Amino acid sequence: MSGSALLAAVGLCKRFGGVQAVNDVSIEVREGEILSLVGPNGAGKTTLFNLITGFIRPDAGRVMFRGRDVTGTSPEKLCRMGLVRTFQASRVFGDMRVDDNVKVGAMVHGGSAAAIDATAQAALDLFGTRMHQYLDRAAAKLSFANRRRVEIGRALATRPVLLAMDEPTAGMNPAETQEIMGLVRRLRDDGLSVLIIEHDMTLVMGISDRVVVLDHGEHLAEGPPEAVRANPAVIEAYLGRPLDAPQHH
Amino acid sequence: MSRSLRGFAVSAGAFVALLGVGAAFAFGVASPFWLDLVFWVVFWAALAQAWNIVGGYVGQLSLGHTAFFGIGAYTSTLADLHWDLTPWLGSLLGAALAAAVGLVVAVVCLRLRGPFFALATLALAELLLITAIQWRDLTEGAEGLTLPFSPGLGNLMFETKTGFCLYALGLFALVSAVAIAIEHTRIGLLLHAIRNDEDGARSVGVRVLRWKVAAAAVSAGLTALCGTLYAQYLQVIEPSTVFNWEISVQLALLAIIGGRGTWTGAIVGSLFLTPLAIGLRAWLGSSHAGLHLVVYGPVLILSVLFIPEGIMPWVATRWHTARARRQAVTGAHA
Repeated sequence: MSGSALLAAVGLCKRFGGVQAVNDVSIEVREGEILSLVGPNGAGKTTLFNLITGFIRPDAGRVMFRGRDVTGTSPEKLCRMGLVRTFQASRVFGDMRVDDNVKVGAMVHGGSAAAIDATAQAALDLFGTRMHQYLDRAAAKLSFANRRRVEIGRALATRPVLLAMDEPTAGMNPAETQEIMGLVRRLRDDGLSVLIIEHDMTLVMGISDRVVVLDHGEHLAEGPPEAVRANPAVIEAYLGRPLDAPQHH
Repeated sequence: MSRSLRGFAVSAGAFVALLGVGAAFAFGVASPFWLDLVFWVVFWAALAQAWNIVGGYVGQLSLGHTAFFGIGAYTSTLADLHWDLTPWLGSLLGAALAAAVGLVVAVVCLRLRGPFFALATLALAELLLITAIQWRDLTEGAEGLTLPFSPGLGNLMFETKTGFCLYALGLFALVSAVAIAIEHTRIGLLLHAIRNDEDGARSVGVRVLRWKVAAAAVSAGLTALCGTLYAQYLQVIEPSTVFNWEISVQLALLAIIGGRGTWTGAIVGSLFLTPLAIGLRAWLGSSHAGLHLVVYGPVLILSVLFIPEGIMPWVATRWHTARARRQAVTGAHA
């Protein structure tokens, strides 16, 4: 099902002042897989994500994408190479119409106005017909879930090979969460590779091909979801050590 | 007809109608006082429109556009005096120079977020003011430069104020055409996206820095063309009048009060505020020096307080709301 490495981060480090946010972390996203990056709040997930997507530069380490060294490459260039991200706090273009939001994504590869319209339309149609009534609405006026849909649609309109999502279901209700997870699975089945950040591990158990766990900026565990969930170190990171357990150093 | 095409047709129609009205005023008004007013309204509209390209469409506040204005005024005037170069070419030379300066400032400052571009343009204007005063061999210092009055189309100098009004109108048409072109092509969407959220735009491949720098350079070049217009109209330029922070502030105010990032905003801003400023000065300036500013200031404060988004966006929002309500009512009855 999953093939060779599409994206590989090797030995990434990032320090903010006195905090080592990410310490020597290596991860690999393989072609056609859903890789989830999980960990408690403050584990360094978003920092790692920003390092991979070009929004911040690593202090050390390298990022390889489609066989090329893209360490320090700007997000706009990475997007043109096929790596697109979404944000945890929705970053829609608030006072622009919904269809225009998505068109900006579709414009990345140029093409005729008709081609751009068609790409944008197709991206919004991934959510069925539910967005049709909002096309001429300012994105800021939409509900939280719909803003997130616009953002995902906008990202997909760039026709990526790797979609990186930062907590795509944060703030969504269970039905909306299921819908987004279903969409991610469909996209994967159509050949897209997906990297998801999520702090709630149970959410991604069902759809992930592999899971990487971060804790305190370090790589803690990696593997298929069930194996990771049963890993004592992971349980400890999430739940803390039992009170009567022996302290080990 | 598609939405974008219809929007463009409306804009183009309004634009042509506006130019017609302007020309009618230029030809129809006889009184020099009123012609002078027409000239300044169009002049400030053109300047605010030029500022709008970087300050409005990409949302990078500049507080030093007088730097580019002064570069235009001095370049064409010096080229005329020293090389006998026609202002047609002199103004282009000034525009190229200002665009180059704008580009350098933008490349340096627009990588950073925050007030750096505003501060750098402000500092640049002060720097050029001091340079123009001190470099006496070139600029005649604080005394300024005087252009000999030799009317003719080739000289961009006219016997009547009507001629100057048409010159101003032509320049205004050029700057507005650039703004309209931005608004109705995909460039407009990209710039709008940048203004909304730079990180969001970068994430979907928009080359944010490139667009911001291009907008700054184009805006600076068009502003310089207005500097030449000013020099041709008054035929006297001094460092303190063309490198004047009040110009920088006035430009931003007109565009902000009229509505940033809309081509009609700069026009409405100038139509509203230029007659007010000139009228107040004519009415109160001679009897009670400074009193006109006591009235002008609160008008600005109240406008920004009550219509922070600017007049044109405010009107547009109300218009769309009213239309949506009408459609809802019609729909309910159908």
